[in-house]
Amino acid sequence: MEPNATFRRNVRGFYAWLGSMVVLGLAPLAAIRLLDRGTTTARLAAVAVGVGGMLPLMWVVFSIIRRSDEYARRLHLIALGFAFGGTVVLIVALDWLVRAALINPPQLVFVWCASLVLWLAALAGAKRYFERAV
Amino acid sequence: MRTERGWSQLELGMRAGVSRQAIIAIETGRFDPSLPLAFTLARIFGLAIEGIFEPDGE
Repeated sequence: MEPNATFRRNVRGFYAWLGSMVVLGLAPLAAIRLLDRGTTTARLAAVAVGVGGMLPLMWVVFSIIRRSDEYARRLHLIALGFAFGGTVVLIVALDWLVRAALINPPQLVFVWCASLVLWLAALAGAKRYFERAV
Repeated sequence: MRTERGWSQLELGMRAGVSRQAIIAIETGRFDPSLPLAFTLARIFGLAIEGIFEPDGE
């Protein structure tokens, strides 16, 4: 692929990522406004908007991984594996803390935010591991 | 081998169709490329695969 074509593709990818992040940030706000209306239809719409707000980012991430070379795919595989494993451990730990009456049931938003942080940290850690001179 | 030819990591990556980061990871020895990529790199350098890569421990 020509360097200019690669650059244009990367710029498009960046704007797609930026747009998906904006949607990710705005969707909960719109969903909360819908919840405030209180009707069943509005509450169903709030769920759809809340969940739907995450889908563009998932699509962008999937596209990035699909177009990446084998090295980047390895990084993403490792990072997603760590994020999945870490999230499972976190959920089990929270479950037992709640059962033991040591904490109140946590907000689920905490779990998925922690999952996101784990994913990004694992991505940075894997990249550092592979690219650091031995 | 790469520097002997005066190629940057970016240039080698572009020739092989992978990112600069992939070349860095291969050069650190922590990332083993797939067989197709190893063949591509060998062809770029005009060598056999065993002329570029060694099994672990050798």
